Amino acid sequence: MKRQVTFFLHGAIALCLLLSLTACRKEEDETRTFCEAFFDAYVENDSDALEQALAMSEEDVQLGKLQSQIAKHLTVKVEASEVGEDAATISATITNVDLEAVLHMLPEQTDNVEDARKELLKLLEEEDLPMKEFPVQIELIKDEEWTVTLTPELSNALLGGLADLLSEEMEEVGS
Amino acid sequence: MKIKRKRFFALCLALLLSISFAAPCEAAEATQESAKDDNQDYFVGKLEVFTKDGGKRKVRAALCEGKYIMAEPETIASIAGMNLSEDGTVYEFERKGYFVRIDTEKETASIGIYLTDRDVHKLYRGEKFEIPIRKLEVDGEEKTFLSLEKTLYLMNVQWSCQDQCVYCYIPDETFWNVLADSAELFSLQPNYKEIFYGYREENGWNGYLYGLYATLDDVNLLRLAFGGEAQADRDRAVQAMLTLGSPCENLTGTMQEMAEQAASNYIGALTECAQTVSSVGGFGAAEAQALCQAFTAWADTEIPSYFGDVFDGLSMAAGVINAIQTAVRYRDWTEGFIDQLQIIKRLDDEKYPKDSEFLSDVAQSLLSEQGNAAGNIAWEASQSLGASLMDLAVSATPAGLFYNAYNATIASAKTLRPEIKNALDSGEFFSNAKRLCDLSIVLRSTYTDLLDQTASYISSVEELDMMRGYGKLYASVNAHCYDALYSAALKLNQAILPDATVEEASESGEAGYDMRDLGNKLIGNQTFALRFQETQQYDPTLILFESFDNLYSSENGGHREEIPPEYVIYDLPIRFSSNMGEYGGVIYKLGSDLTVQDISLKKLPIETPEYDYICSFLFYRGMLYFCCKEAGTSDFSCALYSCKPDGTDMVRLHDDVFQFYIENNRLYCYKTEYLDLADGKWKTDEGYSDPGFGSWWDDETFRVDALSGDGLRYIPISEAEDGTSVYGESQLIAAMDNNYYQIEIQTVAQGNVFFTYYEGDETMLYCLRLETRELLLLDTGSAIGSGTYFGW
Repeated sequence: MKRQVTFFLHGAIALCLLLSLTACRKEEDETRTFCEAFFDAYVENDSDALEQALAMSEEDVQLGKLQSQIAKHLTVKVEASEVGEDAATISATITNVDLEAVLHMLPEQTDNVEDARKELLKLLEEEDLPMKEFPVQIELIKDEEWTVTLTPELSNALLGGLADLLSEEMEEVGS
Repeated sequence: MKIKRKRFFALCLALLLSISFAAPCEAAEATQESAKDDNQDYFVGKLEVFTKDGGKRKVRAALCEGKYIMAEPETIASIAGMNLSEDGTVYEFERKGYFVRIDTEKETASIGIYLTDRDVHKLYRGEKFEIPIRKLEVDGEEKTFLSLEKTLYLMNVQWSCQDQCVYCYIPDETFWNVLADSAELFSLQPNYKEIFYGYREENGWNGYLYGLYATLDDVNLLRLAFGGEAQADRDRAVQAMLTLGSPCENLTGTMQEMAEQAASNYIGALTECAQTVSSVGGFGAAEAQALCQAFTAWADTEIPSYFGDVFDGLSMAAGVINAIQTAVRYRDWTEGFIDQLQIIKRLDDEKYPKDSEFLSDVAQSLLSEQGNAAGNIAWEASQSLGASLMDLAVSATPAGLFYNAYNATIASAKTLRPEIKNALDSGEFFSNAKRLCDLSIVLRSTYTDLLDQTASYISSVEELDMMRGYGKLYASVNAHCYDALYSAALKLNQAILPDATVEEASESGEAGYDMRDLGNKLIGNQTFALRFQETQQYDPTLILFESFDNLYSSENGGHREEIPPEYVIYDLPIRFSSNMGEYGGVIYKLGSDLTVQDISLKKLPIETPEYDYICSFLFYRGMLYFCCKEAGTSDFSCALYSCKPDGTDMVRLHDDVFQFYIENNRLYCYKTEYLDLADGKWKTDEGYSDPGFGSWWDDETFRVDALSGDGLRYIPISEAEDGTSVYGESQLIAAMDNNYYQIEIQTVAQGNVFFTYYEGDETMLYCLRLETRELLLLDTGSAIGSGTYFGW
């Protein structure tokens, strides 16, 4: 009888753990799904979805031509996630064009911004471009719905390392 | 005996009318001022105007329907200081990038600015300005006339009316003119290239750099700059904005003078205007003062009551205006900080909601801390003012306080605003330059948005002020960015060349920066900030409505007075009724048709409405005035009539008139009593001046007269600077053995002088060709009745 009770208790605990794990997994799955949907929206330049995911105004999520061209090369690999009650952190690796390398591919004789813009747009249409991996911690916040916080780190990855590029430039001139 | 009786009668008439008995002698000149049949409600005369550049002068103007003043496009362009071009039915007036286009077919005007040679930006898009346009006949040609007041209104001209003269003030530069220079302002915007690399053009970097700029243009830079709201970023942003509150560090001494000099090329010079006005003959200091008062904002300066005891008239006006102008310039420095914070606080650009909120919060907190700083500085400055006579103009007015406050600002800024000191001393010039560059890009976006939206539909000075605030802030941010960059480059040069003096370091290109170019861009931006500020005084002239509700205004900076219709003077000389006259290119005479060689004279096709025949007539402003009488030379009845040249609208004007003359739109027949042709009423001219007895004809450029007794003489007439006529030396052009009353000039038309002459019992009608001096006898007759060719 005692063994039966013990077995029952163990069984109950195991069930609880299982249920709990199932709940956790469900939460993890939900955030992963949301995260993937966000990146899909970014790549597709779906401003409605981005507006919702970033909790920003429609105008604020409009991507420029270059930005949306860069976005088309972007892929994401979610590696781990920590899910809390109203916040989550997802570790991921974003693979995007290596903007610095792409910029160095532009013709040297370019002497104005407009030409550079055209050349860059043409270049970004190619498929075989130098790529770079950006490990990022994606911060999510839940307020009824999950939203993505656009951190400088995430911005940097989304833009192929533009922020890093600027920081390096700043350091070079002694800031 | 018969002749003697006639002469006696003639003399009696002359005495009675105080005009030449030789009249009917002076025929109407119909071509110059008369109208077509459907345009008889106007006359073309002269209007005296004063402008700073052109001085006092008479211009051609028309008065329509007795109240609307119109002028030709060329005339209006010269008054308003605008360039005029014509394309088909469209006239375009342009001044410093601001244009007014008038479509004479649609009778509407559109307004805009040239951002570049080809790029046009339309202003006042919500308004449809209807401009009255008329085609009027001048010198036998049809000319286009535009409403003078409404066109000047659209051209931002202010005017006041005094002593039969319209004093026009043309703004040297309005907000629109500065806006039209936006391309230049944009070219003075800092960019990352300058900040990061100066002007080094390293091989292999061009594509990279321009690609980087293109990418930066493409994304929301502010989000990059302030993304995450890291504390370090916030601090730097605060420092960058605080930097805006201080005068540019490098913009002192020579550079400051250069900026002011550059700005003064654009800025209005009211003092100069006042001096020009005072130099006009017969124009007193009181008028100069009145003129200046109308066009400046000095009414706001609360001039002390004792001021007039010290200064009088013009010197006072000039002194105060000078003080105000100076003060306005420096107020930009002392109050700029507060203004800029106010602008940033209002920055709620929808494009950058989060960033705007952040900037706004920072600005708000700074404003609460620093809001009274400028006031404190002004108060401190006022305590140290001397009260010498020469200082009175600047020390006793609020404007003067600002003038003096500037010097105190430099000394006090670091004490009163420790944050500025810290920001300046931090040495993070590059960082500030970068932040300011970010801010500049955002402000440029806001500025261009405003250009697209607000400027297109401007309707209040408040909106202009808002745009000015952004423009000024944009230029100031750029200036501070270059200031920071200049300092950074200077430090780099000093680091590379430790033994160099500051002067040597500021000339060096060692660190890769063109110091002179940075300095010029700093000055250029500061100049724009000053220009933006100083156009404020003309803002009221930019508030234009299609209803023309504010066409007349006494507002400071938008002063426009209704020009009295009587200012348009019918400037033709006296015209006497006679027996010949030209209208619509046809020369008419009493009696019958007459053709000799190429001279064709037509019988006046009007039948007398009363009595036996028409005895004298005159075409004037598209109307025919004539006298008719009973046959006979004594005890006859007669009457004065008017009608249209085709004989319709016949009106009996007066009894007992058989000759008359018209001067300045007044028809005289009995000395002081005259018919005012403007309103058709008989009036009395108390200042009547007897035109005298004589046989002469004045045109604009010459006089033909028979007064000398030796025949016809030609006298050239020129116009003196003060507008008076100067008569030159006379030339005998037709020798006639005569007493002056033997020659009666009937009319001068189509280059010919038509006159009658009698000798004994024979009368003659002559034509003298003015160009060739050829004398042509057209007809002869015997002296009957009054004894002249057109004898009664």
